[in-house]
This record gives sequence, structure tokens and C-alpha cells, in this order.
Amino acid sequence: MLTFVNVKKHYQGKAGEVQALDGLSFAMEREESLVLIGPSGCGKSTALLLAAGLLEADEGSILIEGRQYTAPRLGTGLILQDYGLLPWKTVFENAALGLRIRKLPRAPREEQTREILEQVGLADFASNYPGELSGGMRQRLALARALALDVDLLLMDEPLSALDLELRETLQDLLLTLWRSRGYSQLIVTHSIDEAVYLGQRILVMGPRPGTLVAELLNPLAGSSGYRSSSEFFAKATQLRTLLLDTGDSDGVQ
Amino acid sequence: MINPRFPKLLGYALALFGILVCWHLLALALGSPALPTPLETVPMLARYAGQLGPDFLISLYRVVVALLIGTVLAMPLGLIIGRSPRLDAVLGPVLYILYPIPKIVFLPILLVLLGIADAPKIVLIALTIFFQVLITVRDAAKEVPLASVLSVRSLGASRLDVFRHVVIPASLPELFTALRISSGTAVAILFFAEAIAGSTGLGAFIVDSWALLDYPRMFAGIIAMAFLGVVLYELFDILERRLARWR
Repeated sequence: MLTFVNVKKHYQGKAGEVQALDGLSFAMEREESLVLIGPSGCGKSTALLLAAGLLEADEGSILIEGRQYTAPRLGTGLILQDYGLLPWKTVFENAALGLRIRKLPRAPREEQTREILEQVGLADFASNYPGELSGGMRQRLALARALALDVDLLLMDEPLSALDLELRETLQDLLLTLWRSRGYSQLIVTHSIDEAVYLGQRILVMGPRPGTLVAELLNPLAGSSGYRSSSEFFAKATQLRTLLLDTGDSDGVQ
Repeated sequence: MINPRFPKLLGYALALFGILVCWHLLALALGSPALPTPLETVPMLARYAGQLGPDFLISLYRVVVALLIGTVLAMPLGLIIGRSPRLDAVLGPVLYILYPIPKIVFLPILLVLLGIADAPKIVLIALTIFFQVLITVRDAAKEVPLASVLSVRSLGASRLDVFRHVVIPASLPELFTALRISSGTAVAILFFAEAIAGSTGLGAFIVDSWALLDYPRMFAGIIAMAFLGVVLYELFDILERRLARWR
């Protein structure tokens, strides 16, 4: 699905040049749920913006289905940490925005929007503004906006980090439900060990700056029901924690 | 639910009453013909209604047209400069040099170029509005959250889509703040321009009364000018409620 080949990217920070990615390579399978974990500042968010076509790599190549691209691609959805919802548009208008930008006629646009709002549980709030929603509902709206376009690749940057624990678990389950029912591939960037193990069939561990991969953990049970309370889940979380400690980048990882 | 219009009208009634009482006491205390009491002034409103009405309307027309021209020119330019660091680097210094110049100093040249009718007054006010709106809107456009822009671009938005769905609505509340602040200056400049050139408008009415030493008549003109300000602010409130409903 998505392939990074030796991708390098630097940016101009306040204290000079920062090498955010230094030869990142990985390949993601179709319909896979892949997690990218690492300490803050390891370049994982940069990797996500590159995958979204919103940044251009300095070196190396990024391919989707074998094709290079330099602009946001039809079929890739993106959810950022603070969602980037538009406060001046209603829930319905926010969710419909992608379809509107793609110039879908009104009738199918409204039908598709209603459908996705139903799926994320926001049908009753269509005419509210984002400022009137709780954190969890905003997250649902961000999901609806990205998924309204019928994506085959969903990219998420710390999608649940602003939510409290109980809500996080509910929404993790929603993420899994949607992923299973709609059959897209998802790439999730997180710094939470529990979230990585619950959501990621494969977990890529990034080292401290400059960003490269230091380990890979297979986690085939991710997404199966009851996984969160199983002993396998705790074993895997412990394994990941040890892995992060060994690579010396536990800083900022929970 | 209580009618939200009622407290507003009540607020105006109370404010008007308070101001009239203070004014009356101050006039009694000073005992000068240059400050007539409201009791002497208010009847003048009725007496000169035939002249005040048209003067009020011509002043309102000048300010509103100037506001429109200034905003229509400044808003797009401010949005574009705000979203382009390169343009901002070039035009920022130009703005900072021109902005602090009180635009009233251009009245003589405008009178020479445009005559003494509506045009020089409208251009002068539009110039003032232009710079204030330009700088405020530019700064608002700079502050648009990156996450909103990136999210919308990830949905396939063009540059124009980003302006339409993100940058323009994000800047609207700031635009109204700029308009509210600059309309005070606008009315002051209107008064000055009307007082100096031509014989129409509230500025001319006030200065004529002054020349006749008819102070109650002059204060009737001042009341009309205050009302002009109220009309502008209420206009902005109505527009903002329609255009920025999410607030």
C-alpha cells in the first residue's frame, strides 16, 4: 500500500537545521493497521505529513500502490492531533467538506455525509458547531470528515491523545470497528504503548532524532475482540516497553 | 426565552437617560451659552429636522460607501499578504511607513484632485479604513491554525479552497473588530472633511451653527453625529451575527 524508501527530510527550526527523518524505510500492506511509535520529536509526525503528500521529501521516495506523488492524493485521509476542524462550519458541513471540495453533487453528498455521521454516532449533532462538542465527539467528527471520502488509506497523528482514558478506549474500539468494516489501511502515529499494542498489527519503533526505525514488533492479535484484557496483550505491551527502554528512547513514551 | 432585543433597547434607553442627566448637570454647573442644556437642545432636533435629516443621510452615505470601498480593497490584499511570508516581507515595511501617517493630511491634495463634493471625503475615509483593515486582516490570516489548513488540504483543497473555507472565515471576526475601531476614526475624519470643504453633511451643519453662535443648533448636530455612530455599530453587529454565526 504505502512504501517509504530511505526517506530523508530536514526542516529549518529556531535553533538551526533539524534532521527530522534520516533514511526512514518501511512498507505497509493493504488493509494493514500499522503503528509508528517513538519519543516526541522523533520525526513520526513529519513522516505522516510526508505520507499525506503535504510535505516533500529531500531524498528517497514515497510510494502508494507503487506510484510516487507530491500532492495530497484522492483516497488518503488525514487526522491530525488537534483535528483541524473548522469552527465556523456545522458538524454536517465539516463532515461534508471533502465531498464539497471534490464537487460531488448535493444529493449524494448529503446522503454520504448523513451515512458517515450515523456510523461515528454524530447523526443527532449535525447542526451543532464543533465548539459545542465534547473532545470525544470532535474526534468522531474528524474521523467522519476523513472517512466521508471513502479512503483506502487513513493516516492519524496522535488521534486520541487529548482524551481521557475511558473515552480513549471507546474510540479505539470505534477506530477498529470502522477499519474492519470499511477495509482501509491505517497508519497510526502514537506515543502510547497501550494504544500501539491495541491498534497496531505491526508496530514500528522509531529512535530519537534523527528519525530512523530501530525495531519492529509483530502483533497479529491486534484488533481481535477481548484483546485488551488478555494476558497476550500485557505480554506484548511489556515487550514493547522493554524494546523502547533498550533503544534508549523511553523519554516521552507512556 | 426573553426577547434578546429587549435588553439592548433597554440598555440604550438607560444609557441615553444617564448621559442626558450628566449633560444637564454639567450645563447647569458651567452656566455657559457654549454648553446648552438638553432641554434647550432636543427641541432643535425637531426644529431643524428638515435640514438635519438630509445632512445625516449624506454623512451616513459617505461613511458607508467609504467603509465598503476600504474593506473591499483591503480584505483580499490583507488575506493574501498574511498567507505569503514573501509578500509580507516586501510589503510589511511599506505598510508600516504609510500606516501611521494621519490620512487627514491628504485632504488638501484630494480637494485639488477631486473637487469638494463627495469624492475627496469618501476617499479620505476609505484610506483610513483601508490600512486598519489591511493590517488587522493580515495578522488574522497569519494566525490561522496550521492543523486546519493541512486538514483541508488533505481533503484535496486548492489554494482558493483554503482561502474560501479556512482563511476568510477565520479572519471575519477580526475584520469586524477592525471596522468597529476604525469607524470611530472614520466619523472624526468625516467631520473634519465636511467642516472644511462643502456645505453638506453633519460636519458642515455643526460648523455652520458654531459660526452662527447657535449652540443649541450645534448640539442638535452633535446628537445626530452620535446617532450616526450608533447606526454604524449596530450595522456591524447585524452583519457579524449573519456572517459569523458560530460565535
